[in-house]
Amino acid sequence: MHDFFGARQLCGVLLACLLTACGGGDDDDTVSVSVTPGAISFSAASPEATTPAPRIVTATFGANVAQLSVTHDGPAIAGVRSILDGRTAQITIDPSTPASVGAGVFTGTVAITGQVCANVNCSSLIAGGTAKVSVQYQVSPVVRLVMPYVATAGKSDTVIIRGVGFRAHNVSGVKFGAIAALSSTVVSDTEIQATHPALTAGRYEVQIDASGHQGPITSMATLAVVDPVTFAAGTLAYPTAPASVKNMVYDTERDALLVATDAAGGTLLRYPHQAGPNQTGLWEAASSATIGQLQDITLSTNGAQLLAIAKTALIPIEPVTLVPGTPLKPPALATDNFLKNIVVAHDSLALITTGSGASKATSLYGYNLRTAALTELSASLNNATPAIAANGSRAVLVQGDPKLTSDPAVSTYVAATSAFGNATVSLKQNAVAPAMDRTATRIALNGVKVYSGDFDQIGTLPATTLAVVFRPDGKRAYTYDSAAGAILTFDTSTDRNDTALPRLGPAVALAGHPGTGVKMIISLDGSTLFLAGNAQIVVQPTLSEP
Amino acid sequence: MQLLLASVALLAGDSVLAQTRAVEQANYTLGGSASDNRTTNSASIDTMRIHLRGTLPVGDYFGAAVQAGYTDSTVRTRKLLNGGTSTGSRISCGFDGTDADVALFARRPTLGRIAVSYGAGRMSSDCGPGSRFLEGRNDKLRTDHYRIDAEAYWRDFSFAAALITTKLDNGPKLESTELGASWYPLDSLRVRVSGNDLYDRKTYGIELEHQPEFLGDSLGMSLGYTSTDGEPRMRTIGIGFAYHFGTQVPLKIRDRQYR
Repeated sequence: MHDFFGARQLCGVLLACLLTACGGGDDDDTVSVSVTPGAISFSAASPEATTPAPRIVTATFGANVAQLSVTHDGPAIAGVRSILDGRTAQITIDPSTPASVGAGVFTGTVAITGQVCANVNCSSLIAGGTAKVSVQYQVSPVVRLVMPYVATAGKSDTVIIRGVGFRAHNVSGVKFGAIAALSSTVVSDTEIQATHPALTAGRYEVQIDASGHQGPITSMATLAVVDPVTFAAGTLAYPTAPASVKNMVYDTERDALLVATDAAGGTLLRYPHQAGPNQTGLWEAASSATIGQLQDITLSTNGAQLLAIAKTALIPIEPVTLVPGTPLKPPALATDNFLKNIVVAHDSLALITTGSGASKATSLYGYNLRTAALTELSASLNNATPAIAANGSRAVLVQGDPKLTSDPAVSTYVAATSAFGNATVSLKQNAVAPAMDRTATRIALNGVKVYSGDFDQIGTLPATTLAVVFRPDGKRAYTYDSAAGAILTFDTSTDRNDTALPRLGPAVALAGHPGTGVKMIISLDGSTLFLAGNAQIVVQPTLSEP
Repeated sequence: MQLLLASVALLAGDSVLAQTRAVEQANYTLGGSASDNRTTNSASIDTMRIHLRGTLPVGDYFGAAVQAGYTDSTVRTRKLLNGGTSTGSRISCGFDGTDADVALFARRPTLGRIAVSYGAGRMSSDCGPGSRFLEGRNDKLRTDHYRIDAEAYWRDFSFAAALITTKLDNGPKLESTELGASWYPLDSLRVRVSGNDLYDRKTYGIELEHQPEFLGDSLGMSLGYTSTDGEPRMRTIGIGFAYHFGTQVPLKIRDRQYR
């Protein structure tokens, strides 16, 4: 080291000289970036809506900015483009598609950074100023349906509301028209369980309260409240006697009975019923439509369509005029297979089971009521027969036949998750269709075994049962009994530990003999049974007991 | 600053080192560096650079130097964007560039050095459809620069001044001046302070370079920091290394007789 002391002195002086020039602190517009507007917003009416139009912001940058870097983050933004014009840039911000983000409120940020030379040779860059654009994107919730979509005037009851965005938009309440629900629980982003108050007859649009939401919320769900109807015991004749009855649906909203039979190769009958409020009405003559190879019928989630299945097609039908729509062919249906039964769940999926001449598993199909697409599902069952709760929450499917050497599992379909599963119960189905109550708290299989909603067997029904239904609250089972030739009533309100369920009241003789192959349904309010056999249709009020 | 220039004038009388050639022998250096460039309320950029330099004698009094480098930079905006987890997000973008320059200089190891140089570079970006180099309106930037350097040696000090003209594609010329002073408290250690007026902003830097003897006087390591005044404030911290092929001499000798 040479002359270290002197060198240090000189170095100190030099550093001091340099550092005294370190003033500054002024804003340097030549490396800055500004943008206007600094905040933008997008909105879409639903996840199915078209993508909102892009928004353009204008960035202005200083004279020394060499490069403009535009980065972005957040689900609201799909991409960013820019067009330069002198020292400004038109920056186009493309929002994400509503379908890709779903319902909710989403944010994003665009950062526009002006890069300048990092050194005098400009061999690399350093960031100058950055301007940011805040992006907010609202994809509105949608109320798609309510199930059941019909309620009885003067009676409070529970319903399930399906849609999207219920959690994302912090839904805090439900209204039926302008009347608030007695209670509501947001089960998931797509499901609300609500209790409507006793309402007068009329149509009530189902609305949700989402305080943070800007603008109107689309609702496609309407609760139709109808006055209770009193039916007199009686019979209805067929225009042409069928060999068998496929199924029945009581159209509560329009007070009509719809019956699917095999008469003339497949006949759909509609029996309108005319009654004033709280009056016993009269049945009108049946109208009919020929649907070849008719197998089963059900109403859509809002009652706007009657879905009929023939052996090789699904046919949407206008439920009053019975005018058929365009048939839909199930894709890849094997030649020896046929569509068998149909039920509608509250996820807007109509489950269609299939059968074949042999005892083997065949594909299930699903008809999406929102998209009108009929597709093959991943599940396959052996000639399965379904039953579904009136609120569409759960279906149970029994399968197989008595010739099988082992019992196949009973399958379930949970609408909340749109998923199939196996119950803890296995059995071979017989000729008695399964039954469930309104909210899937009671399940009857093979006309004999009665289970709770989680498949805990609570008791048994007589082996002479030909058909069974539950009262909507699940506390009573009504059977059509071959030995009694009448309707029997059983208490299913409590668990009887797998023993015979207690009978209540006397056997109720029918106004007529329905014939063989009896199908039985119950009205939505639980007041009336409808039985259809190959001889005639029998209307039978239920016992007025607790 | 006046004091700095006065100091340069004084050193002419010093002749501590024996007079030798401008470049004792041809020598080559492989170097690399990494730096973190931060700007207040703006993005940060991480830069990696590798370069190769060769210096050749041209007679007794002249030398020539050729250098080529590759630079890779990543602009990070995660903090600005408050996240960076969304699918489809672009939270960073990148630059890569190549550059080369050639210099011709005259040097007396006891006095100093005067050099002229020309360099060119090319940079490209991968920053998506929203990003552009402004002059070319695309994702590429070409640069040219000319330099005149003067350096004076006095005892354990060196004083340097440079005039640089840099041209960005079709854009404006950037004229800047750079001043620097180096001190060798040890023959293997250099402390350099510098300043420039690029963009008419004041940029100051300090760099330590050490070439430890136990590594055979062949490997040097450096640590540097620069800061630019004004708003937004820009700061860079960097580390680097340089491996010198075939010339095992102390750092001070290398700077004055080889580089």
